[in-house]
Amino acid sequence: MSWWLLLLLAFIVFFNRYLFLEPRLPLRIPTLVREALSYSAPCLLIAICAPVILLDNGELRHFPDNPYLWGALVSVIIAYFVRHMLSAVVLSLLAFYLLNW
Amino acid sequence: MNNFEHLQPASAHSLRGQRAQFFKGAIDIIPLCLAVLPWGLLAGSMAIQSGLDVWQSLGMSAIIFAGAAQLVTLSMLISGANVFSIIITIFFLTSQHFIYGLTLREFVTQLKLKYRLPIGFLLTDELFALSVPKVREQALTVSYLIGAGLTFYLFWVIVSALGIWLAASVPDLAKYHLDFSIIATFITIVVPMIKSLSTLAGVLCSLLLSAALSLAQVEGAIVIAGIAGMMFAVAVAHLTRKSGETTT
Repeated sequence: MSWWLLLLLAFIVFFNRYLFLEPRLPLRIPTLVREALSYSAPCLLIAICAPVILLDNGELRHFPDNPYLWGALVSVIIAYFVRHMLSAVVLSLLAFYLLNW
Repeated sequence: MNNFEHLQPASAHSLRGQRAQFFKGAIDIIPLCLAVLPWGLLAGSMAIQSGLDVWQSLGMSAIIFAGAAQLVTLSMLISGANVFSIIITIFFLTSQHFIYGLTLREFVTQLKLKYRLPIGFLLTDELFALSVPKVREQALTVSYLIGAGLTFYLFWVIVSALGIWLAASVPDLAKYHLDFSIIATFITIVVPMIKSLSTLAGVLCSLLLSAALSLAQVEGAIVIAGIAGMMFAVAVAHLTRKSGETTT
């Protein structure tokens, strides 16, 4: 791998991250898109979770013997009742490792 | 509809307040650091095993700073893919950042360049997750973002360095299921955000579509599923509003 390819890839990643953070980029976001963006966090974050829960190296995890699935469901319940973020995460992790014990 | 009205840049905050925000960010991102520990080790050791020298291996983590992009690049290099296809793949693989940028645009464009550039560089999936207003009891601040982002960055580089050092003898951490930490954190962030039928519909749509597309090994499964969920949520919001129900 050459340094220029490494730097080019770094530029692409930075470009994707920074583009819309630049105020000089002339952009009027239509109302409908703005409304869609208000759902971006829950939708994208859960979309990132799905393959981690269901797949292991591209293969479907066993069902119902999938600790990630049960762990995720327990996390949902904990997150619903415990609204302090860090406590909820720690409780979810504890529950997950107890389930796996 | 616009959930950024209460977000103000940190200029009005005291130095002590900024420092507290910085450390709050640094602490909040710890579970996500834990989640990427195996990936960081793998990125480092895989780079060495792909024939990169030590500085290039470290440079990948320090300059590109995108786990999935690094691992995919390395596996494409090993399989002899050409440079052009690597570039295209990485562009689409990291395209969810466009949505993060659009979502944070209103907050970040008000900031000075010296804050915009580091936030842009540090804007990973994990940092975006923590930028969600519901996570913090108070408004989003620059110090919080930089504290979380910088901690995550340093952790990533150090763990990669460890992976480079261990190279072939990197321990197999798969059995410790550290990646569950990302699920625990993201679910904890998402669940309190579901306050309306439209959000629930969007989340379920993204979840199912992402699972199906990932299983079918579709490139860009996450972005497609995310955007589809967002559009579905808007459609549901409009339909329920028309039928006279109130959405909260």
